Amino acid sequence: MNLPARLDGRTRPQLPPTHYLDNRIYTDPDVFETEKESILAGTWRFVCHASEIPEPFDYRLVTVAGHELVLVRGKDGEIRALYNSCAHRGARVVRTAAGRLEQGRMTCFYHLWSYDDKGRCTGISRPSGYRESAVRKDATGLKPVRVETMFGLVFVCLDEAAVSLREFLGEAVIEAMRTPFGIADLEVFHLHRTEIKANWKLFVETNYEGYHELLHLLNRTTGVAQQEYQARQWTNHKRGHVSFDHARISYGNLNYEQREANMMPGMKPNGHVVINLFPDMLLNCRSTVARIDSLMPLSPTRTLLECRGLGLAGDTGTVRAMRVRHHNQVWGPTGINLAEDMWAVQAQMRNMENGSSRYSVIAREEEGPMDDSSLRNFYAEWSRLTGCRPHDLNSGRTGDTGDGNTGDAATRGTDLNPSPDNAG
Amino acid sequence: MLDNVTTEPEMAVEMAEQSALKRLIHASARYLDDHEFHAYLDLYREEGVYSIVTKAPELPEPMIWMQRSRAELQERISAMSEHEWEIAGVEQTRIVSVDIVEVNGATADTSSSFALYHTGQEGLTSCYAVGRYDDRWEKAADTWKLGNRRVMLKTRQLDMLSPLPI
Repeated sequence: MNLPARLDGRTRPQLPPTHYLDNRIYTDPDVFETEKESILAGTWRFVCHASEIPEPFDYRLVTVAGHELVLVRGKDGEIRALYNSCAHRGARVVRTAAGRLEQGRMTCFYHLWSYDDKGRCTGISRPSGYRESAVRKDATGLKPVRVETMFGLVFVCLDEAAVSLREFLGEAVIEAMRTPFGIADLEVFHLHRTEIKANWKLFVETNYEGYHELLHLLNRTTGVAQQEYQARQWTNHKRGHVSFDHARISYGNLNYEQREANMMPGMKPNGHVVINLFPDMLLNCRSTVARIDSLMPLSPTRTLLECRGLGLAGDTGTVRAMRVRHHNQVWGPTGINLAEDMWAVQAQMRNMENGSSRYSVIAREEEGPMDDSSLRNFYAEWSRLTGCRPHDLNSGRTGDTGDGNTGDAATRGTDLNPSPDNAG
Repeated sequence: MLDNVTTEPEMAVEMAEQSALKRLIHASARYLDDHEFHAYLDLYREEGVYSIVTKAPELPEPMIWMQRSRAELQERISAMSEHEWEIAGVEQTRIVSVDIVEVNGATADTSSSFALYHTGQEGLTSCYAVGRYDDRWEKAADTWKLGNRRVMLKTRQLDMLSPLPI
């Protein structure tokens, strides 16, 4: 009889390479730098909802891969992103988190160079001093960054050569996002940030697998406990995105009010939708309220989480109050789930940082919500973009983009993109 | 004109009311520090409401982060699981300064600045949150009870999330 190989978190698991992780991917500074370049700066990243800058000249500051950008809605209604760095000597031009440009202009406080809503330079102080050089305002500006929106969700990409947002998401994911984000105008009513003392991927993983729901009192009581919930499946899409089937939640099991009235467009009573966009964005809707989580990785061991709650633009006061209440029950800073997720990943990080835990297992293969193929899908894309092997940093770069991700079909509950070295 | 002059006995009563309210505000902080939630909730009227409100520059309206009746607070705290206590159950110390006390017959409005410090198991202390307690008190049977406590939170990036009152 074959005894199972020892699994103790420190010995390399005797599993297919796609089914376990070398935990140094969470702690290694070189890996983090590679991620910054190839993933955080190289893919489309959610930065805000269009309702946060509704009027011409409204702006807000966002940070992508460590770079601060000014996101501004122009006089023409277009949203643009510009590096918030004066072309003259590099000072921050806009210095408040959000607002409206006075007279449609941004002026650097240091030497008073000014820019319009498209980032074009409109004024250089004492321009005569540049008569002998090639500095002219019509050839000067704040460097633009690519911006595209999908259903009011604003994305930027620092990589000028990257594919379009539509291609990055893929048609299947766009269709999945449509409910509820693409049916009616939404509006952000909640925004908060919290620093997670853990690697960004650990938090992403809490959204990419369904069986840590057993941690959550809410989920295990109102969701997992139902027989029909076990039919819920992950769909693995290309480029590392995943979606989780609709589910029906029994809020009454926890003495919470049911979500059966004033639902978000397209949502079913007590329904629940989850979509994860690679690398770090979660779209979540529980019938009456939508939620977006996105991450700003700060270092290998620190991550800023940004959370938004959304209702319908034009909600009455009573309906909005209901959405806020439902949002806060589950997700708010004082809600039931977020604290538990943070607590879990910080508990992991502690042992990964000190080296006590060397390997993690992502080996579940089963029909239903508790399959790990969604995580394996994430790491296949992560490996393709970083060139690193997530199961073994010592073996170096893959040297092969392993571009299995360009296939058209999404797959349900099976691995979409096995690593090129998965002999499994 | 004399009608508007506060007499000495009236002034003494008002000062006594102000002192009583200040003691209650400090007691509310101490009860939370010591996890004496029954005593804390007993400061509220049956219909009393607790809320946490904050304002972010990115959004036009203030946000409500928590709004619960006394009964809902009681239910939530009672339902906290063991690991939730591990998350929320750190040592807490509130420093409270009562800035405004306005007594108006059987109601009173108070506003107090607070700083809440957390001390972890390793003994490290950090400031968790600062803000204001804006309270509406109502007097019944010669006792002041909280009709409404609104925590106006200035700290928006909370280090550790918890369903416990701040």
